[in-house]
Amino acid sequence: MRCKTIKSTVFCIVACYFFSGVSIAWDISEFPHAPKKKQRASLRYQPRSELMQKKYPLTVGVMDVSDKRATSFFLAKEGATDEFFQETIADGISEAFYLEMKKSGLFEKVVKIDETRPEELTAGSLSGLREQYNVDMLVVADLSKFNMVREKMGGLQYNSYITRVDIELIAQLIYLKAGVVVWADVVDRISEKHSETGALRPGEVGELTTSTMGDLFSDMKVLIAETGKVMKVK
Amino acid sequence: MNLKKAALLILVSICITANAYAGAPPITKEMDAASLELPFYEAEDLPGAVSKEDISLAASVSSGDDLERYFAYDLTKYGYVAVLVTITNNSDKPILIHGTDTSVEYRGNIIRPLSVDKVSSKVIANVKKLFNNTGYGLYEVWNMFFVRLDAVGENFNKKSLRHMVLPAGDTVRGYVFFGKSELNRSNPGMNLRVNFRRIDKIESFGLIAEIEPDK
Repeated sequence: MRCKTIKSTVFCIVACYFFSGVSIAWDISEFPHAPKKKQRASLRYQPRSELMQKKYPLTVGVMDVSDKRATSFFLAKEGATDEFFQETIADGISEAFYLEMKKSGLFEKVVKIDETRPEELTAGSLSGLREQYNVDMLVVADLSKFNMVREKMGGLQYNSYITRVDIELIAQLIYLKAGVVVWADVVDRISEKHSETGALRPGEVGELTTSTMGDLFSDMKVLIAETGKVMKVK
Repeated sequence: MNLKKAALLILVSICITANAYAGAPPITKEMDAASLELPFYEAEDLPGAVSKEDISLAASVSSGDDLERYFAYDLTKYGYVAVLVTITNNSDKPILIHGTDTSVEYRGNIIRPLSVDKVSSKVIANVKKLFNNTGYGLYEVWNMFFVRLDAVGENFNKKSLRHMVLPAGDTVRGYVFFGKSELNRSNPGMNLRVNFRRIDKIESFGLIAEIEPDK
């Protein structure tokens, strides 16, 4: 009788560990892959309607964001990758940058400058852009961070994750006629989302990323409005 | 009957322990390394430091032991030379560091650094290769308990020199990586070039410091 109880206890213990193991294996088998092309979310979103007071009654040119990141968006199962979105990250954020500036109300007119940014901005290159596009100011930005980290939570929440998106832009607003930087700053936003499953859903990533971009551009617009140099235009 | 109750009690407590154990991600060497900060030094206090416009720059090749301490793996064994760059901004304005556009000049040749992604991906691929031979499932379990890919990625992200703004009075330290075949870790006369720009200016300027070789 005693022997039978011990045997059944040992069996239960083994079974218990086996199922724990299976649940772990199931959980980690969902260690994320980058989504397939057809499943990827878009980085395009509608800028928030937060029209601000006009700060510069001038025409501003917006150049594409220059990608200066040290690492890719995410270290997925197949290695470091940016392939999470329909657009490339540089194109997606450049488009959002232009739309956000256009809808901000901070400038008289916003023009998109479809030209690759020279590696080094000089007085000569700036005056060339001024004449070619008929703009008074130029806004440029470097993308220094656009990364996602997924962290497994501890304790009993063994299948819970925190997904964190970190975006940082270093931007300058230049008054071309005088070659003066009227505003420059680093704008950084980190957003996180708690997820109950190990799987990484493209929609979740897309939503988290675009909302972080929206927050970042809101900060940028407030910073330009509050800390941009005041100019007296003759 | 009492024995049955005792066995049931043991079983229940084992179940709870097993679940708690399964739930708590263990501390791995990758997580230990990620939690270690690089020791603080101001650039001008390091050998070979150079200064221009109140910006100081120093660079040195890190030993295999140091790399194992800060990245959990001896990167020299993976074919990399890691140069630790220290920059101090003693000016009264923030400066932009072109951290992803650095280069090494050695005997008239310009050597560009490797991408951080390439280095971190190779480390991960090597760890995977080691355990893939034992079967995919076993690797997954091993990965769960002993390797934390997220910690590896985050650590490389945190400790690499990147494109950033350094506030007035601050110091930053970060790694740039080169291939062993392109850069010899113990050669004297290797010069690292880093470009800077004051955040309120348009033009950039460069600073060149001799890299302290690994002795």
